[in-house]
Parts: sequence; structure tokens; C-alpha cells
Amino acid sequence: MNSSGALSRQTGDAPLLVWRHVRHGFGGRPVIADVSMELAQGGVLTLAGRSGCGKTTLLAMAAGLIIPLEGQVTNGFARTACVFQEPRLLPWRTALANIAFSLKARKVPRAERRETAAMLGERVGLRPADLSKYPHALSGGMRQRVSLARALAAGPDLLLLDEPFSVLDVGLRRELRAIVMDRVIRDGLTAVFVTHDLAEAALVSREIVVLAPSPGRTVFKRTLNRPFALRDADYAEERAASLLREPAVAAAFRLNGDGPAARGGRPAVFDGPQKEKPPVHMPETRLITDMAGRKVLVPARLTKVFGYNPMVTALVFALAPEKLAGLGMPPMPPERMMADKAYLDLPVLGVMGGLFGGGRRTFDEEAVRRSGAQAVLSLSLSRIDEVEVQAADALSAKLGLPVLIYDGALDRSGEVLRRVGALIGEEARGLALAGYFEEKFEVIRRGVADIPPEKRRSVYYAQSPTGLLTEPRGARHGEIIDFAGGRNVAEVFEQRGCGRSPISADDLMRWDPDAILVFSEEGRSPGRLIERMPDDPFWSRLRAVREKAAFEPPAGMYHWCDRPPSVNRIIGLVWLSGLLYPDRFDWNMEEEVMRFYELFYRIALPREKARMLLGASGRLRCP
Amino acid sequence: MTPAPPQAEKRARFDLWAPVLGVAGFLVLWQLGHLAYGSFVLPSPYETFTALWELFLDGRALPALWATTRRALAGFFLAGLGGSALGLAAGFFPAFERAMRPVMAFFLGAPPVAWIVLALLWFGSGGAAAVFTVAVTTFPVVYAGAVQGVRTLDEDLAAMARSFGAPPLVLFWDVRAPHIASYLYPEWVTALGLSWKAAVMAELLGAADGIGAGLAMARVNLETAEAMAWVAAVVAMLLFTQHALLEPVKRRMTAWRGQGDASP
Repeated sequence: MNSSGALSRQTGDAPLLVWRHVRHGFGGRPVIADVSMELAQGGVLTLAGRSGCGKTTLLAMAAGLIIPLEGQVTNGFARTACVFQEPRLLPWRTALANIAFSLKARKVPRAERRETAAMLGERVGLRPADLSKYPHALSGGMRQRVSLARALAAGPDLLLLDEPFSVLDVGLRRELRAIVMDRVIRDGLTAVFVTHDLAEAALVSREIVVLAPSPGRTVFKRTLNRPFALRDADYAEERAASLLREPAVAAAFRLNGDGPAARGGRPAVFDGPQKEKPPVHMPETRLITDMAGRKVLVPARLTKVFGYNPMVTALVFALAPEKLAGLGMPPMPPERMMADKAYLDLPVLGVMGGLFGGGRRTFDEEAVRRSGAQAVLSLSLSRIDEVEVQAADALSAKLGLPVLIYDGALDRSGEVLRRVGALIGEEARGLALAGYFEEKFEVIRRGVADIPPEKRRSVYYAQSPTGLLTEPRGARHGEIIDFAGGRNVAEVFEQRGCGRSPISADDLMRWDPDAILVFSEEGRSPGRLIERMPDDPFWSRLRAVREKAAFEPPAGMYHWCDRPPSVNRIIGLVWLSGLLYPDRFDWNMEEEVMRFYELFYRIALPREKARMLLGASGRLRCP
Repeated sequence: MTPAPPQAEKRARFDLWAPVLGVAGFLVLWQLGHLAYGSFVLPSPYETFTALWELFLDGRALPALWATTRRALAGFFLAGLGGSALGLAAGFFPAFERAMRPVMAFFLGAPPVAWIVLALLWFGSGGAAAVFTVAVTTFPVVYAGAVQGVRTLDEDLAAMARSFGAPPLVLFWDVRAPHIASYLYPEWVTALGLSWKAAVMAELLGAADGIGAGLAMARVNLETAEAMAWVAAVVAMLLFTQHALLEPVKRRMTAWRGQGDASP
């Protein structure tokens, strides 16, 4: 428990970890401008600063993950281990195997690996039953325990911690921090912390370096000599307040004005008994539970939000267009046709690829930061699961912004409208739109409920210029068919995320659907699939084509049925139900369209324009 | 894994029985259909299985099953290897993927029937045409899975592994390969299912042996029961491969994703 020994060791030894005139940048933009620091054996250094000051980059350099463009980083420690902000566990390994991974990387024999890992698992407070679980079955806190155990298993003499505890609740944070500090005090472990919380820095470090952002540079250093055992919450808070009285520190942490840090998101919550908060602390926040059940801190008043899949853009545009921080993709023709200049001029910030939609990842983190978004929303394209949650957590950590997940299922649109409406301070509007949705949805649900399965119209959803990509039954992209009372003929393996599952033409021939929805992504070209169909040797053999039951769903602002599967599907559902069952629904479609656009997008559509929208495809088929 | 709790065990047992129940229900419906339409249109299950049994006794069934299996598997392995390799390459080199995209659209868009016609022109009637058709129809499926698998690799995990000094081999086998496999394996399963269909179809149009050829003969001779027997034989084989071979592997492979994703 005597920490002064470790301290003298630190002052006596030559520095082992040195950043020497380090400069770095990403894509031509400077991130770090001439930083020099050093750390000796037994030292504890904290890099503090708001997001964008390059502290994580400096840490990654120490870990050997990034080579600086200029300058030098030398790490003379024998063994370095990292605890990342997000747990970064291998999802296909159990907790035990994840802890043992750092030993496997060092080629430690299997039996010894398991033994050490089990011991460390216990040390960080995991029960043996938890050790045999896969990460998806562990809570966020348990995952971070695993991550910490993995780093300790490496037997490091230098531990790098990148805000690993910042998303945990107060008690857990204190517990994990105590485990690390125990190693520091007892074994003289050298550590580098990265944090944005000065009070935490004061609690754990011998030396604090404050960095200012854009580009990152050191603006202030202070050494704290009080033994760790004697530091308590009061001490930490008093030190933090005193640091913030330094003009350089205050400037580096400045939160007012239009700098990105004001939106920087996570407040520096301090977990000691609090007396008086330093005046600098971050804007008022509230705790929101999203539809994945995650509790997320968001600023009390959100003025800009961004969605990392394009469905969110439509949702927020309907609720509060002025709160859109940007678009996911460049505006498509249906948007250009209707949207005003303010919308079309919004910056394009990209979409998440892979599992999230769109297939391509164009997400530009830097642009998102610049756009002033204070929160990032997602409407999930599949059942909300661990993959989604982990990606959201990772993104949140990377951006320093709260990321909230909502369910993109059509039947939950009402709930989503209400929740997001409340989130962005448009409660009344959220309620109104949700009310409209639920009214229509209920009419259609009841209208088709008594149709026996064999009487249901079978529908095929043809995508891509070949028409042989589809969305199988149960897929989010095609669920509108089921909700409109149709029977999706495609039963194939579903491609996750962006969808577009291939089918074979002979299957389609066999299914021979009653109707085909065509969305061939060829614009309005006269040679597009729906125009080719009647003369195409394959397509013309399908009953639906012969009977002129192939339809292109209309698109205005957004497509009505899919791509993106947005709130616009509400009018799409009305349209499709009338199309499939004209005997059951006699919508006055022109009126419905005008009312929908007025209500959702505040666009007063002239009647002829509504007719034009429908005209391309609004031919009702006689039963 | 730890031993499954009793609840899960019960569930697993039901998982085994559920397909059997389904088959029984199906047979009953079949028999009803037979009673309604007669033997020529719909031979009863009994007649069908008798016909199947006779095919076995004649010594026609086994060689045919073997011929079809051989072609389906040969085509599947060609497509599985080629598709995985090209898909991995396309995943790692985006320029290559862009170059391949139109080619893949072509492969995906061309109906399998068209391939059979071409294959017959190129390879003549015989096994090669069937193998080719199988390979060509399943190739894009595997390819797409591999591309997707590589594209979605988590670089944060790789950075984590490197930070612990993981050697390249550990990095590959522990970090990258399981992720890619989780994308590839379902596509392999889809492709294997497709291979049988494609093989039978190719044989139907242009082979002297195999299940497809047997079907063609049955059609010429108006032997409905025999045709159904062949269908039953190929379906039985498909079910066997799927439930006895692929499902257990799949369950093992997807355990880490949790309950919801483990079942198809």
C-alpha cells in the first residue's frame, strides 16, 4: 500500500515510453501537432482532453498500432497491453477464451492459459458460469471486465487504458478502477490513462497532461504527488477544479460556442460524493432508454441528430426537418423532386455498410463530427440483436456521441415515431404522426385479417435490373407485402442488412405470383425492367406479367415500399392494400396521398401532382 | 460448452422430432390427395415407395443416386472453392470486386435453364454438363458470401489482436477466419441445396444416367409412380444432408451468436 516507493522509482529511472515531436494526421487533416511526452517505469500518466484532441491516437502509437507521420514513439517496456474503450471481445470465443487470448498471442501452452485466465476472471469479479458464456450473453459491464482481465493476463508492465470505464455505471467503474490501481500500487505497474474527466485523472495519475484539440497538442502538465491511498473524491474534485482554473486547461475544455465539444456528448460524470460542481461541466443531459434497452445519456435539448441509415433521415425529416444534421446518401430523384433547398443542401455524411443497410459503408465520422450532430440514431433492418448493439456501442465510443437504436419494423412505426419525437423534443408531432400510422395500420390489419391463406394474393418483389433479387418472406425490406395482406412467394435464404437475396428464375416460374412489385433501380429509363417485361421471353411467361399485374411502387420524397424502408411505407401500405384487395379497400388514393404528404412532410401536393405520382403505377387490378 | 440445462435438452429433443411429425402430416395429406385424384395423377405414398423399392431392387436407384450425388458434389466443390477464393480476393481488393460485379450480375441473372442449354452445347450430354451447370449456378452464391464476410471484418478486433502481439497465424485463425466463416458457411449450405436441384435439372435435359435421367425416362413412359419415387429419393437425400450433416455443424458454428440466430 506504500506508493511512495513506486513514486521514487518513477523519478529515478530513465523514461521507457517516449513520444518525441510526434505529428500525425488522417487524410491530410492534422490530428496531432508536435507532441512530446515521456513516461518512466512505475509512472502513471493521464492524457486528458475533450474529443478530437488526439489522445486515443497517442495511445495507439504507444501500443504500436499507429506509426506517426513525423517524430518518433519508442516503447521500451517489455510487455504492453491495452484496454480499449469498447471491450473488443472475439464474439466466437467464450469469456474464458477471450481472457486467454492475450496469452495465446504469446504462445503460452493451452493448460496454463486456461488456468491463468480462470484466475484472472475471478479476480475481475466474473463467476465461473460467466466464463463459459459467449460475449453476446454477457452484460456490457461483464464484457468490460473480460477485456480488463485479458489485458492483465498478458502480464503487462505497461497498461494502456482508453477510457475503458467511461460507459459503465458508477459502482462498476469504481470497482474496475480499483483493480487497476491495485496493480499500480502493489506491483508498480506503469499505466497510461486516457480520459475526458479531470476528476478521474486526479484520482489515478501521477502526471496529468492536458491536450487541446484540432490539432492535438499538449497545453498543460501537472504532477500530483499525493500517495494514491490518500486520494479521495474530495481531493479529486478539488484538483479538477483547480486544474480548470488554469486558463490553458479551461480553453482546452471550453464547451460553449460552436466547437464540436459542446456536442461532444458524454458529460464528465464524477462518481464521488459531490459538493459543488466546477462550472465548466457539460450541458444538461438526460438518460434515454432506446429500443435495444440500452440506457444512453443524451443532451437535454437536441438540436441536430443524424441517422446512420437512410430510414432515419426520412423519420427525422417527417418529425423535424430542421434537426437533420445531414443526409446519409446524396438525394435521390424522388427527393430532388419534392424537397426544399434546405434539405437538398444538407451535407452527405454517409451510411454504415455491412450489417446496417446500404451494403456500402460510406460513413464519414469526421463529417458527422463537423455536422454538429449531438446524437446518432439507427433504425435496425433486422431484429435488434447483439451485433447491432455492439456496433452502436463501438460507434458511440468512436464518435463520442450517444448512439440510439430503434426498431425499423413497419408495425412498430407508431412506437418509433413517439419515442423519437419525444427524444428530439417534438412530442406532439410524434404523437400526431403515430396516431395517423396506427389508424391506417389498424384499418388495413383488420381489413385483411379474415382473408384465408389460399385467397391471399401472392406477390413477388423483383429487385435489380435482372429482377431476380428479392426479399424473402419475413425480411424487413419486403414486410410491407405481408402487412398489406399479400403472401410473399419468395422463401429463400435472407441476406442480412442490405437484403437483395438471389432467387433462381425457375423458382419464380414455379411460384408464378399473382402480382409483381418491380423496383429495378433503373430510374425512369424507358428500357427498365417493367417496360421490358411484356416482351422478355422469361418474364412474359409469368401470369402476373401477362395479366398486367406488375407494378412499380410510386416514389415521392422517398420510395413508398422500400429502399429505404422508411416511414413512407405508411402510404405505401395504403397503396398496396388497395392494389391487392380493391374489393376490400376503396381508398380515395389521391386524397390519401395529399393528406399523407401534408401531414408527414408539410408538403401541400396539388391534386394533379398526386395523380401523377400514382399515375405511373396506380392501376388497380380488378379482382 | 457446459452441459445443456434440462429445458434446452427438451427443446433439442423436440427439434429432432418436429421434422418427423411434419413428414407424417405430409404423408397423410399425400394419401388424401391420392384418394381424391387416383393413381395416375398422384400415386399413393405406398405405391411410390414400392416403386422406389423396386428401383433399388433393379439396381437402378443406387447408381443413379451416386451419379447425381457425384455431379452435385463435384459442381459444389468447384463452386465452393472457386467462389470462396474469388470472393475472398474480391473482399480484400475492392478494385477486383468492382471488376467482378458486372460478371457476377451476369452469372446471377442468367437462369439455370439457360446454362444447361449452353453446357449441353459445349460439353455434350453427359456428366460434365451437369457438373458445369451446378458449378455455375452456385458459384455466385458462395462468392457473395465470401465478399460479404471479408467486407464486414472488424478492424477494431484486429487492432486489439495486434496490440497483444498476436502473430499473423493467430490473427487469421482466431480473429478473421471465424468471422468470414460465419458468412461463408450459410452460403455453402444454400449452394449445396441448389446443387442438387441444378444437377437433377441438368440430368433431366441431357444425361443418360442419374436421378434426372430416371425422371426423364419415367416421364416418357408415363410412369407417375416411378417419377415420384425419384423425387422422393432426391428429397430424402437432401433432407439427410441437411439435417444429419449440415445442421449440427451449423448449430456448433453459430452458438456464439445466441439463440435467436442459431435456428434458420
